[in-house]
Amino acid sequence: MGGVGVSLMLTGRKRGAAERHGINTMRIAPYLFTLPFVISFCLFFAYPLGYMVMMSLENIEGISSVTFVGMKNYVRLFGDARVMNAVRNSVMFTAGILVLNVVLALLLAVVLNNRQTPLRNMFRSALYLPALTSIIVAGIYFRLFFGSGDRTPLNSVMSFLGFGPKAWLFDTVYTGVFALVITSTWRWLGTNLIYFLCGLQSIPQELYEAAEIDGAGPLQRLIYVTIPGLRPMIVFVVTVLTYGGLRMFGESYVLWTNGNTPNNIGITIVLYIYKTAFARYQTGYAAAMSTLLFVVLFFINLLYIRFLKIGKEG
Amino acid sequence: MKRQKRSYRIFIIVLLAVFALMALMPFVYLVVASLVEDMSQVFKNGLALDITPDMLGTGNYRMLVTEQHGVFFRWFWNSVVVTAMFTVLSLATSSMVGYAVSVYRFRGRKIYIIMIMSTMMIPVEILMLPLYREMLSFRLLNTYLGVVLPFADSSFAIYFFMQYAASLPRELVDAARVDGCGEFAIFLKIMGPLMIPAFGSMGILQAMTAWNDFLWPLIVMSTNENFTLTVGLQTYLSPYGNNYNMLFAGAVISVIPLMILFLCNQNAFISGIMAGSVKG
Repeated sequence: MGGVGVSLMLTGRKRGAAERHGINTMRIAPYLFTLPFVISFCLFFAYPLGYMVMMSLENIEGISSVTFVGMKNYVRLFGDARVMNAVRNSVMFTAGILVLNVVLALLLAVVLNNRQTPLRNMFRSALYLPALTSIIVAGIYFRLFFGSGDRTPLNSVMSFLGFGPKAWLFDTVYTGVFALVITSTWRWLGTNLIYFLCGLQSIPQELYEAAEIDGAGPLQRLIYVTIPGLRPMIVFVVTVLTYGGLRMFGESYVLWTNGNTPNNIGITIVLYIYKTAFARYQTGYAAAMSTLLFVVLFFINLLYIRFLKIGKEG
Repeated sequence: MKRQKRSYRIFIIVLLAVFALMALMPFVYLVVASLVEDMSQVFKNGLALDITPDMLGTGNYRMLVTEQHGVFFRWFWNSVVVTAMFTVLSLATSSMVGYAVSVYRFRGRKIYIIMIMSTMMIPVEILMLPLYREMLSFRLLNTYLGVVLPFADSSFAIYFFMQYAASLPRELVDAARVDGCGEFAIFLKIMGPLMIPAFGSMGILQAMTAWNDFLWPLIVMSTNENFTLTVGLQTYLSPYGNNYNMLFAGAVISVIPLMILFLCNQNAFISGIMAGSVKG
């Protein structure tokens, strides 16, 4: 804290300047700088959050008819088979993208980080390009990719392997989730790959050299040097994917036109909330679901901050 | 040993080529399909790949201009405006907040940090219902501001600027004060310019987010001529038959701006993505 004396001296010397600038002083300026955040925090976070919790305790029909119903919406939620469906689909989807994205992105990053790999930059760019598209663009392609026709590439492969063609989007809950996982992974893999590349570059080269001198083979170097060195980045990627998975909406909305998912196939938590609120106008019930989802995500957020110790002084 | 190295290289190239092919195939397919004028030829119950050169033409793109008075380009323009507004607003406010929290030691600073952290990754989707009501009462539904305002000041961006500002030499601030520089002038003239790389990285990230955003514009915008590209395009996927002619052509055009931005400055893009991650 050697700076204290200096800054005290400076504030002493600054008196004249302070008077000249009015509000433009060291004491007041930080509050003005942060004012936009405070306003936006109150208007677009704290207030809506409180409002949402309140809505979740009400039965709201249309805009005007509101009655207080206490915990009824929450009770109803746990007996609602469609909610359970949506939760199951979202959880399966999250598990799917976690496995695919972490494993594949890590593998590709290790390969692309190796100096002996040819055309590294070209491959990196090619693998990243899908991340530039919106879910609509990806959805247009993948709803055709998973189409039921027997001449689609996927069904051709299926026939070649001796299975019949499938209507992937309408067959079972599992093929539905599979289609969602592939669609998302196509868009997200590139970003996660870059995250891991970034993490790999922060591992000191000397560690690898030391491991090699100790006689560690490529696999041992991966397990004892690379993966521990990537730990913070793995935690980051897992957290981002968990959020992305539990909040997923667009993929379902586009793969099944306007989110009209058949029976229990393809419906996700956020899509169900959206439909409950904006198609069935049961705003109170939808608010109860959102509140619960908020609690879950907030908890994950806390765990994450704890885990990485971000935000600590330093 | 040498042979082992060579077979490793071949294995790696095949592996990467397979993944690159999977990543790029949808682009190739969308571009080719957008040039096919008779869509019944392209797919029956899913996509087919038997497209021959004599089926190709630019009719679908011309259709985008003529159909519904070229509303597609209206959507394109809306996306441009929303992206620009969102990016500028987000950079301006987030950089100020991040800078202040990292450079000043003021009462309540800890609380600010807790506030920023606790909202860091709370997604849009959670608050869509109350925010929709709020926009309704502010009369901001179906406006650009309604799309842009609620999420412009993101904790994620603030945290990024906090980290960046913390890495700048603080002596500069003290020196400027001695010279009688006001606090805002210090930010605008001295520290702000030093943060230009951060503005670049974050700008790209935020512009990408805004350009590809779907759910919130879908909720806020309610009339056809106010839709953004993502919201507009999906209206072609109607339950009453899909308008694939315009869908393919429109999808291709919607990707072009980010694609150009990416191909022109890949390094800025990549460092932007990296900057978005948390350095452990």
